[in-house]
Amino acid sequence: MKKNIIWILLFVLSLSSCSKDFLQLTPDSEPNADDFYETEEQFEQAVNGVYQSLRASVNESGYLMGEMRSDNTHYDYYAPDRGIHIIRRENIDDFLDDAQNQWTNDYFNNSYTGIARVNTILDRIEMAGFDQAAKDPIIGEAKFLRAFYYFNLVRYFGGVPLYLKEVLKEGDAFLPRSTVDEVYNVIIADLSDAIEKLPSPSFPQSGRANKGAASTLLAEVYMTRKNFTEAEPLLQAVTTMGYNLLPNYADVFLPSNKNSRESIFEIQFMMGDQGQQSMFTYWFIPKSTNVELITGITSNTLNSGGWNVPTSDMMNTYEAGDSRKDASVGIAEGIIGSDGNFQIQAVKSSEGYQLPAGKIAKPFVKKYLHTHSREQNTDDNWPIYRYSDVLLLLAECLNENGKPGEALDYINQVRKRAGATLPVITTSSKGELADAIAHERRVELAYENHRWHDLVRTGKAIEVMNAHGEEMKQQYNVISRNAYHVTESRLLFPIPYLEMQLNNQLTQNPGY
Amino acid sequence: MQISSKPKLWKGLLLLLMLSFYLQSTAQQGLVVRGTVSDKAGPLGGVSILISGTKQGTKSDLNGKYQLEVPKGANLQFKLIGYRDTSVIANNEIINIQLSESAQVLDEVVISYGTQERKEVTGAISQIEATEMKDVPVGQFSQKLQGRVPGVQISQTTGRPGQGMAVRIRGSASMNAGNTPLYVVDGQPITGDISNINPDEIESFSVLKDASATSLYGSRAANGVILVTTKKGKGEGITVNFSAYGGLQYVPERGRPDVMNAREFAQWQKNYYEDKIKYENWVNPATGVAEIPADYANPEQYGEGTDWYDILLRQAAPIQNYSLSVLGNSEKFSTAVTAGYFNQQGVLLNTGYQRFSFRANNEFRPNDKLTLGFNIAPTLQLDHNTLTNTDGQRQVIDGAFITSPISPAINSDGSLPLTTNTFGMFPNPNWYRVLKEKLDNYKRTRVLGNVYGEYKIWDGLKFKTRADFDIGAQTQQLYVSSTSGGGLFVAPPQRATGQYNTETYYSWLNENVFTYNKVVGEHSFDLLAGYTTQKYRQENSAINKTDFPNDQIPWLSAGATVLGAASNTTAWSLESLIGRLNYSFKGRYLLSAAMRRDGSSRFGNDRKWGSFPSVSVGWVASEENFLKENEKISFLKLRASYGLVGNNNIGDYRSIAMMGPTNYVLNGSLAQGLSITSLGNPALSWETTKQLDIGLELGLLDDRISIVYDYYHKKTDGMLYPVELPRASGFSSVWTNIGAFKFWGHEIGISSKNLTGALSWSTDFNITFNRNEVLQLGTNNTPIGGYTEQGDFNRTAVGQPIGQFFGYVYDGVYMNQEEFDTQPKHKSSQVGTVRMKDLNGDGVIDINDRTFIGDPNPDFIFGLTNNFRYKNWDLSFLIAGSVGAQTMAATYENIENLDGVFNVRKDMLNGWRSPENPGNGEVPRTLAGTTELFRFTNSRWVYDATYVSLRNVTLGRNFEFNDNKYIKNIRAYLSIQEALMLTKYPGMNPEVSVNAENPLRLGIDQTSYPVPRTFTFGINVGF
Repeated sequence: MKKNIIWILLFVLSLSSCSKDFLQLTPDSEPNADDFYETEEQFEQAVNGVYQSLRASVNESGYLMGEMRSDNTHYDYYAPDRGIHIIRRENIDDFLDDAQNQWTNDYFNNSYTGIARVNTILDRIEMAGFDQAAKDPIIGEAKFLRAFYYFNLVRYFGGVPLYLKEVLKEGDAFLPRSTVDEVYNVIIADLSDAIEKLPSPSFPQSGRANKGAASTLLAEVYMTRKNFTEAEPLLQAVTTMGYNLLPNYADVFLPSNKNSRESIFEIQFMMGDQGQQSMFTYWFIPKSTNVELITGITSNTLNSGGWNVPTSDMMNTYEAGDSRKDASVGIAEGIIGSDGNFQIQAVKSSEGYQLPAGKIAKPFVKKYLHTHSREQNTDDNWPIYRYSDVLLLLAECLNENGKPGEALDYINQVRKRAGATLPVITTSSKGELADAIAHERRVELAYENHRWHDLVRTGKAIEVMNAHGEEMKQQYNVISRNAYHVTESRLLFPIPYLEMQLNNQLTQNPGY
Repeated sequence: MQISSKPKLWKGLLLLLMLSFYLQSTAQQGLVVRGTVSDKAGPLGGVSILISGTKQGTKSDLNGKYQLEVPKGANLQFKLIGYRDTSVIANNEIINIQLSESAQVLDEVVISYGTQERKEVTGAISQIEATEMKDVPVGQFSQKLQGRVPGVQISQTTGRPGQGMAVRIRGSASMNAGNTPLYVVDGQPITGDISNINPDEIESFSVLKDASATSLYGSRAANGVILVTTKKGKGEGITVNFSAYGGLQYVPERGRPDVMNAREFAQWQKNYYEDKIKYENWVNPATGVAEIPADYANPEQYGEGTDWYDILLRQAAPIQNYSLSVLGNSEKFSTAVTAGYFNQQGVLLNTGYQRFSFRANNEFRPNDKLTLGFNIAPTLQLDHNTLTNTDGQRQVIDGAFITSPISPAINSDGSLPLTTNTFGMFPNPNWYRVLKEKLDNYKRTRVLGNVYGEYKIWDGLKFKTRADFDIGAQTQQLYVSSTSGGGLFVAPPQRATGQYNTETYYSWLNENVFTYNKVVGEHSFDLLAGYTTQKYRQENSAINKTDFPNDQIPWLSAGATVLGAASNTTAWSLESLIGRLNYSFKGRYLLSAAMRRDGSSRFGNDRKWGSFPSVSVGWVASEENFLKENEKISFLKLRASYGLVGNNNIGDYRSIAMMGPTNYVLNGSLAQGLSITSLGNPALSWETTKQLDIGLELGLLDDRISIVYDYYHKKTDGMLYPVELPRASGFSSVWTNIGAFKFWGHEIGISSKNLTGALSWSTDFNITFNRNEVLQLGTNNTPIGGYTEQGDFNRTAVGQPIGQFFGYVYDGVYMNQEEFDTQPKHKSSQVGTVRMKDLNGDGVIDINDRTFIGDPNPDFIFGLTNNFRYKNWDLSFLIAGSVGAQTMAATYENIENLDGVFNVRKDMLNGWRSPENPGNGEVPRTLAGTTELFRFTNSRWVYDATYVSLRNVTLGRNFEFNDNKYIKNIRAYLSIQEALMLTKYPGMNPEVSVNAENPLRLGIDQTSYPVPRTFTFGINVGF
C-alpha cells in the first residue's frame, strides 16, 4: 500500500515540476513592449508610429479648429440632424463651444498620444545598443514631432501640462499645467536639437521630417513669439535648400505631386485597403443622398458632409484672375428634393459663377478632391508647410524687421504663380504690406488650417471675428443670438471636461 | 478452490479471511435474514446489504429479494447510489425495506470537490433538484432557476432565443472583472457560457454562496459558484425515458412602443411645420413657399399606417424540445446517456435557435477498489440572426420604434421598398426588409469531457485523478446584402459586405486529489488535499470582404475585395493547490477549514500566487438534549463562515504593456509602425473578497416547514479596474487593483408542506435583500461614468450604490414668459422649452446640474412556488418579482426627439406650441436650437421597474401502466411560460439591460428582443 502512495505522489510531483514556465505566458499574436525598443529597425518603426498619430491632427478637429473657427469657412446647416456630434461641430464655428466639445477634446487627447510615443522613444533610445549616428536622425524626428504637437497645443489651449518622460505607472500620469513660456522653451530646445540632427531635404522627398521642416516650424514658433529676428535667418536658410514653387497652383495638391519640391512637410495618406487612406473631401462636399457628380462614385454624405464650407466673405476675398479660387472651391448646383435633401444636378466652377433661377448653389472646398475608386477612401495628403508658406512667412519677417523692400520679392513670387494678371505688390508701407501679406496668406493657404492661427498670431482675431459674426448672423437666422461673442478668452479652447475631472491639479482656461 | 496459480501471499490472505469469517460466525448467535428491498416504484435490485463494521454482505436480486446470515442484533446497512443509506437492527428474520431516493430527501448535498451530508454542511449552499422544474419549457437551465434560489438574481435581459440570462449571486459585481458565477459541471470548471447544456441532462444544481462553500475555487470564486451535476445511472437495470414538448410563442401586447400611428404622426409633423413657419420663417425648401410639406398637409388621409413593431413579429412562433435518455446501472458499471434536440423559432421574423446535444456518462467499477469514469458531451448550437442585429441603438427593433408610420413596409404590389422616410426624416432602411434579408449565422460546436480514475488505497483513503477537456469552435457567417445594408442616414442600397469569423479554443484540466475520512469515537474527520492545473488557449480569425456581384451568394468566395483579414490567439494558465478539513464532533459540532492556493498567468510577475482560505463552524442545536424532545422544532442548525475568495477575470496579458500596429506611409508606400497601446502593470493581481456569512436552518413540525436564513457581508478589495488617467499621459487608463465595494444582505427561504393528504400542497418562498456601496475608486476616488450628457447613463461613485443613473432632473416646461424670465435657464432655453432643475443654485442650468436620478438595484427580489397534487393530477405555478429597482427608458432619447426626424411617443402631441396653447406642461416645443437639452439623460426617463410576474403555470397528469410490458408511465402537461407580467414599467421588459454583462451600466433600455409568452404541451414517457 505504501508503495502505491509513493508512486502516486511521484506522479503528482512530476506533473507539478514544470510550474515555473507554466504560468509565464506572453501574448503570441501581438507585440509587447518588453520585447521591443532594442534595434534600429524597431526604433524606426516606433517613429513611424509617431508620424501615424499626426493624422489625428488633420482629422475633423483639424479643420474645425483651424478653419471653421476662423472667417474662412462655415457649415451647411442641416435641420433634421440635431445630434450633439453635429451641434458641437457648429459650436466651434459659432464660438459657443464648451469643455464637453468632443472635437476640441479629441485634438487635445490625440496630440498627447503622439507626445507619449515620442517620450517612450527618447527615454529608451539611450540604452539601445546601436550607433549614435543612426540614433541621431531618429532623435531629431522624434523631437521635431514633439515640438509640433506642443506648438499646436500651446496655441490652442495655452500653457498645457508638459509630459517629457515616458509614463510607466499611474503616479506618472498626473501633472499640473506649465506656463506658456515653459512650453515654448521646450519647443525651441527640441527644434534646435532637431535642426542639428536632421538631414537636409533630398528630392524626391520621403515624407519624413528634415532640416527644412524643422527650420520652418521653429521660424513660425519664433514669429508667434514676435521674435522675427530669430525667425528670419531660419527661413532664409530654407530658401537655399532646393525647394521651389510648382508652376500651377492646382497641381500642388495633386496626389501625383505628393512631397514635391514645394512641399516642406505634409501628412501622408494612401488610398487602398491598407487603412492608410484619407477622406477629407467627404467632410467638405455638401450633404446629399448621392454625390456621384462630385466624386465620381455613388455615395451618401448626409452623415459626413457639409462642413468647412467657404463663407461668402471668403469667396469675395479672391481677386479677379486669381487661379486659386477655381483650384480651391467648386460649386454644387441643384435643388431640394421632395425628401427635403439637396439633390446635386451639376458641378460648376466657382470662377465667375452665376446662380440660375430656381436652383441652389453650394460652394465646397475641392483642394482635396481627386480621382479615387472607393467612397471615403482618397489618396490626398494634407499639407502642413509648403514653400509658398515659407515665402510669405519670410516676407512677414522682413517687413517686421524693417526690410519691406526685400519682402516684396517673396510675396510677389507667390502672387505671380497664382495669376499672371494679379497686380504686383509694390507698397513700402509696413502696415499696407502687412495687410497684403495677411490677405495673401489667407488665400494661398486657405483650407489648410492656418487661418485661425494667423489671426491670433497677428492679433486680428477678436476684431475680425466679431465683425464676421455680425455678418454671419444677418445671413443665417439659425445662428444663435449669443454666437460669435469673441473675447480674449475665446482665443483659447477649453481644457477637456474629463481631464479637469480626472486631474485635480489642472485649472480651466478663463471663460469656460 | 482453484487458486494454485496465485501467489502464496494471496493464499495466506484468503485463509486469514476465511478464518475470520469462521471466528465471527461462531462467536455470535447467527440469524438468517431475508426480505425485499424496494422503492416507491417497486422492487429494487442491486442494493448492497452490509453488516455494519464488516465487509460481509450481499446484494438484492432483480426482484429486490435478498438473504443474508447475520449475527443477531447486528446493524444492517442498505446502500444504493441515488438512494438514502438506511440501516436496520437485525432482530427479525424478515426485513422488508423501502429506500427513498436521496435526490428527493436532499440528504446529500453536492459541494466543491465532493458531497456532504446536508446536516453537516456549514456553508451557504442551496441545492435544487432538476425534477422540481422539469416541466418548465425553456432552453436554458438558468431560466428554470429564475425565482427559485434565495440570494440569486436571475434576469432575462433580452428575449433572444438561447441567450440573455444574467445570473448574479449575492449582488456580486466587479468593475471590470465580470459578475457571472463560476459554473462547474461535474467537477469541471467551465470557461465562458454554458447555454450549450441541455437542461434535460441535469440532475441537480448546487449554488455555493458564501466563502466557505466557494473558497476551494479560490481566485475564480468571488461571484459565487454553481455546481451542475448531470444524470448518472442508478437503481438496477435499464430505464428509458423520452420527453418532448412543443409550444407556441407570442409577444404580449403589454409594453409595446406607444409611438404614433400614421394619422397621429402626420398631425404631429403638421404642427411641427406650422410652428416652424410661425417661429422660424421657415419655407419649404422643395417649393420655396411657407407651406406644410405634402406628406403631412392632410393627416386625415391616413389611417393606422405601418405598425413597424408589429410587422417584425412572428405570431405563434413554434418551440419544440425532444430528449431521449437511457440510464443503466449494475454492480460493475453505470451509464447515463441523453440525446436532445431543441428548436426555438424567434418571435422576431427570421430568427431562431437550435441545439443538438448528447451526453454519455459512464462509470466502471472493475473491482472494489478502482472506479473509472468516461464522460463526454458534444453539442452543436445554431444561432440564426439572434446575436447582433436585433437589440440596442440603431438596430432593427430600435429602427421599428422611430420609422415613419406613413412609409409602407410592403408595397401594394407585394414588393419591398428599399428605404422608408417621409419629409424631413433621415433616410432609413426598410427595417422589415433588413430583418428578412440580413444574414448572421453562428454555428457553435463544443465538446466537454473527462476521464477519471479513483482508487481506494485503504479504508477511508482515496485517490482520484482526472483529466478534463473542453473544446469549442464557433463560426460566424455574416452577409449584409446591398438592399439591407446601411442604417439610419445611410439607406440602402449599399455595397454588400460579408464576413466569416472563427473562434476555436481548447482547455484542459488535470486534477489529483486525496481524500481521507476517519471516524474515531464521536470525532469524524474528512480531509482533502489536491493539486490541479488548467490551461486555456483560444484562436480567432476574421475575414471581411466586399464587392459581391449580386446578393445571391452570401459566401466570401463571391466577393471580390478583401476589406480585412486577421487572426490572433490568447491563452491563460492556472496552477493550484487545494486542501480542506471537515470535522464533526458528535454530529452536532461542526468545523470546516479550506484553502486554495492559485497561481495565475494573468497576474503580474510580482504577484503570481494568491491564497484563499476560509473557515466555518456549525452547531446542530436540535441534537442537543434540551431540543431533542421539542415537538415543534425538528431541526435547528446555526452556522457561521468567514473567508477570502478572488476574481481573476481580468483578461489575459493585462499586466504587460501591449503594442499595436500604427502604420504610416513613407516614400509612397506602407511604412510599418508599432506603438505602445496600453500601459502594463507588473503588480497587477486578483481582487479579493472577504465574506462573512451567518446562517440559520430551522425545521418545524417534523420538517413540514423548513426555513433557511442567511446574512452576509462581503467586502471586495483590490478591485481590478482600469483607472482612468488624464489623457495627457498618452493613455486613457491603466489596470490597477484599486477599488473597494461593500455588499451585504439577507436571504430567507421557506419551504412548507401545507397539505400532505390526498390533496398535497407545498409552497416554497424565497426573498432576498441585496445592498452594496462603493468604498474606493482609484487613488482619487474619481467616479466612473456619467461624464457626458448623452449616452453615458450610469455613474459609479464613492458612497453610492454601484451604477446609479446620472443626469438632469426634469422639471417640466417654461410655460410662459414670466416663468422663463424668473427661473434659471440653460444656454438653449426659450419659452416653451424643457426646464431642468438648477441643482447647484447658480442660476444657470448646465452640466454641473446633474445628479443621481435612479437606481437599477432592487430593494428586494422574491420567488414563490406552489405545487398541488391530487391523485394523478398536479398543478404548479411560479411567481417571481422584484421591488424597488428602476429602469431607464433610454429609448426616449429617440422617441421623444423633437426635431421631426423620428416617429415619437403619442404624448408628444401634447407639446407646447404657444402661451395660449401650452400643451400638458410636460412636452416642450420643437423650436430649432432648443431641443437638445430634452434629449440629454434626465429623470423623465427613469421608471419604477417593480414587477410581479407569473413566470410559469403547469398542469400535469400522470398515467401509470403497471401491467404494460413496454410503457411504465406517461406524464402529460400543459404549461404557460411568462403567463402574466404586472408592472408599471411602460416598456416590454422591466428586467431589460442592454449592458447586462457590465454591472456598472445596468438598467438601460435601448430596446431589446421581446420575451415571449409561451404555451406548451409536453409529454414524458418512461419505458
